[in-house]
Amino acid sequence: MNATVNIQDVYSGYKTSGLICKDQLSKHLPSQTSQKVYVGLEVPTNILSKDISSISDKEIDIQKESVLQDSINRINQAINDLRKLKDNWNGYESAAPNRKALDIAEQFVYHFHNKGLYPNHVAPSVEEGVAFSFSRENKYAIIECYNDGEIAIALHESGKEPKVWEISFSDSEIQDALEEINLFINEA
Amino acid sequence: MYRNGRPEDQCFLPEEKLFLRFQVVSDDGKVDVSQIKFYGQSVNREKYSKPYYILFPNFFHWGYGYLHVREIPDDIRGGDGIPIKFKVEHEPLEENYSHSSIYPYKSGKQYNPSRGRKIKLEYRTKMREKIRILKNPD
Repeated sequence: MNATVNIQDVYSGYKTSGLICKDQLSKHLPSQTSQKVYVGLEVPTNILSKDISSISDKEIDIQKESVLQDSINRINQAINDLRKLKDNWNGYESAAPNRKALDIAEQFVYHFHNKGLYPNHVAPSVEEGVAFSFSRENKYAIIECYNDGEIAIALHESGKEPKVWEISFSDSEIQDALEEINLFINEA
Repeated sequence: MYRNGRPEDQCFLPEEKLFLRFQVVSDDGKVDVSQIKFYGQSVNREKYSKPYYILFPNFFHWGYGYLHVREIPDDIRGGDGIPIKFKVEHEPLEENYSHSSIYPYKSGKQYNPSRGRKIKLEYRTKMREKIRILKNPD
């Protein structure tokens, strides 16, 4: 049985790993191996090219650690790149993300890691701050951490009304929000 | 492209295309919300512009797309229930006659609250749905 999971190429410095969820993988992997792959991680192509049944648990665990670290590194690198961004980066006078927004964004990375949920993109927002976005098929979610310290989240499924709310910068509210994003993005 | 002394033209037909540029496209093939502004989104109007003019003067590695004037979301309400309407206005620049901006109005006045991200993000998320991509970012 060969796994066939579509992973788009990284296209810019702000792109992080593709979002691959456990239940999406389980369509392709035997149940005993699907549980070994972290939610929200890009699956290495050397795994995808193999006959899944021949991969040992140990091999998957090693790949898992490597992929997880790579995802974290890419997100942190994207945030570091945003630290170098200048005002008027878009030609429409938007301010670059400031220290407050970037510090909040860094805290989100910690929570992404804990949740095993990784954004597809890290980008500067024209509304001035840092944006993390997630998408899968026709579902899309965005977290924006603004320069004034506010945080807003939207979930949207194509053709439906978006759900939008604000949260404060607290561990519990961030964790609740990520749980809701995870359920939304990964639900069938 | 240059204004060359031409006056403003505030007549927009519903079918006229409004071009805008963006740096990020989501994996679902739509413009990322982070690229869409609530107050004063800059666009180039089709009547006086070719689509790719939106990349001038130095954003040629960015993507661009369009929506029709009639597609600007019009079903947004403030927390007090008062509707927020959006209007595109021709704001020609000397080097870009087609330049226009989309502004929110509430009770007849331009509306740009310093607080209240929820309404802004709702509008921007709906706007995203309407934008068709003509060129992806490089």
